[in-house]
Amino acid sequence: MLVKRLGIFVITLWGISIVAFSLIRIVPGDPVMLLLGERGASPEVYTEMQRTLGLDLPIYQQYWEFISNAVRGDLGISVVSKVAVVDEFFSRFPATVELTLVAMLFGIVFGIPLGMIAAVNRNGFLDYSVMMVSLFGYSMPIFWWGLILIITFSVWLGITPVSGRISMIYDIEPVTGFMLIDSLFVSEERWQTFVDAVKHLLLPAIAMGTIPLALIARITRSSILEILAEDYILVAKAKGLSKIAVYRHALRNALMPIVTVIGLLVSSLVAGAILTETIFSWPGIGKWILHSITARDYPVIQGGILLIGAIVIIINLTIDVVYLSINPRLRVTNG
Amino acid sequence: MAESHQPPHPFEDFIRSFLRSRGGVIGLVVIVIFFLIAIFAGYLSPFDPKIVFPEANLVPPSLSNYWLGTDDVGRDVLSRLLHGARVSVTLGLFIVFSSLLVGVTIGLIAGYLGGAVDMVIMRLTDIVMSLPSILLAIVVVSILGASLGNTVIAISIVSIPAFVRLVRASVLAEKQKDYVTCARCYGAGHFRIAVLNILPNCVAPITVQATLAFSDGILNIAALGFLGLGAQPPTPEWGTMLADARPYIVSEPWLVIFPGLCILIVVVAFNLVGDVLRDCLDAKLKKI
Repeated sequence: MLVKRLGIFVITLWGISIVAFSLIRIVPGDPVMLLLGERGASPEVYTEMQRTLGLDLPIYQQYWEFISNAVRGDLGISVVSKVAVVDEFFSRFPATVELTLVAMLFGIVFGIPLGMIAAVNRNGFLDYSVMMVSLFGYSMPIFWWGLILIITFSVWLGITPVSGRISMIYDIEPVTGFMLIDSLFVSEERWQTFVDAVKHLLLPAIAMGTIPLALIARITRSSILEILAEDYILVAKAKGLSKIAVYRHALRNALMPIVTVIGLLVSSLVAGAILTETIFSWPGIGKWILHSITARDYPVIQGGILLIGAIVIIINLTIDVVYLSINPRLRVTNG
Repeated sequence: MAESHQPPHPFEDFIRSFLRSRGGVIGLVVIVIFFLIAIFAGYLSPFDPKIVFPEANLVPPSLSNYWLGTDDVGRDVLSRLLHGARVSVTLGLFIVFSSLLVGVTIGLIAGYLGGAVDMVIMRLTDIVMSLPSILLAIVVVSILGASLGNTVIAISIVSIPAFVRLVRASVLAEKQKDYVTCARCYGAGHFRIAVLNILPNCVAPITVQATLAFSDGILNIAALGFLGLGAQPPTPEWGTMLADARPYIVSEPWLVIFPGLCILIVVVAFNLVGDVLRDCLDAKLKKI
């Protein structure tokens, strides 16, 4: 079972490398000319550029270069910044991880209780209200939602900053790359710095966490309702267990589908990160890759797609493994 | 009165349970209005959406001349929003039909043939689905060049895998049933069994996915427009209008509010109908 999943993992990763490699090579027109600009360049400069990009080799050799370097952790050098793609990626990665974790936390902390409230008050007013909020939540165009949050909290109420991770006045040493932790390492005004970091994180996390919140509330409601119809809940009720004890039983068993949904959200969270980071000028992976696409920075696009795809499937694989270990029923079947 | 003793036709049953749900009816009404606006945008709009009134830029919403105000170059926002509905409907329909056609065909082949073909197709959908759809769409559009046509192609491509998986799963379930064995015994060919016998029984999940693909499509069109990769000015498209309005977020917030509200309302309506459709068509949920 696990071996099969690992096999699928390797094949998918290899497939993503081919997609990343070929996407930037089916561009109509010459990437070298595009990078050198409209004015054109002398043949020497052109050949030089072609060689640095490795585009003078035959296509199979180019792919071999790409994949053998990638295995060794080398994804080439950004054309724009002249920095290694891997270094650029991992210097921005903590910002995206921090934002994503806080957004997910927001979704889970509010989503699960909302779903429970809805399930407990089935077909009641609270149930309809929660389902209504959830419907609007997962239909939300988050690029617009982010702007509405800025208009409300930054422009009208003036309580949160508009963009970035920290105010310019604070000088933060990137120890972990997580601003919430790094802000606690400063020598003076520690508390103000931390609060400043939290304020910067608040709106982007809400914008990005809204769709997860809505979906988690929904799945929590439906999976609790499904569990409540099971026989063992009837038994628990018949034994005269308190209402709270019954719901504790239900929630524990309902957690399984909730974990699955959180796993399925990973890929769409990256999509959310691209839009959220663009709106809030959050210096993470999403903003970086979008910027590289518009700048036609081919090594970055190629390497970035490979890394993002790899991370998504690694997380999915981890969730599969966790899932198998906490749910013994799945181990026997070969699904 | 003899008919009244017969059980209702499944379709009739479905229509009844759909109409019983208040949400589904509201969603459907909103969708019908949205389509009517798209068709009659030319008659409903007070002005030409592309015409510029240089003396009247950034006019706030009022009941006098420009109901929803004018944008930074002096175009009527209401007229642009109404014509934006037309853009969304046209592109949305195109995306749904093209990805449905391709996705259903591939899914039918994978599910019906099984074996190596199925495995290869499933691995391919795994690959496409592990990359965030909007990222893939952005890359495809930036390769082909930013335009509405290329946006449609890119979003159609990323919408295909969902149809493939869904149709494959339902075909796998249907394939086991007796009516397929029966058809095979009568000597029906593979094409006949797959297209005329199995496919009609997969219509329910395909319909649900089509509504959801429409709302996803509208969101993605607007997202690409917002990032400057979709419709190019002066085409009135909701996402592009939002992007144009961004610099005026502090001074003229209404420019930001209206286009997003249009996107939200339409997406909510489609998701609402999709949810109700799923509940009505899913027998398992009906019992709970």
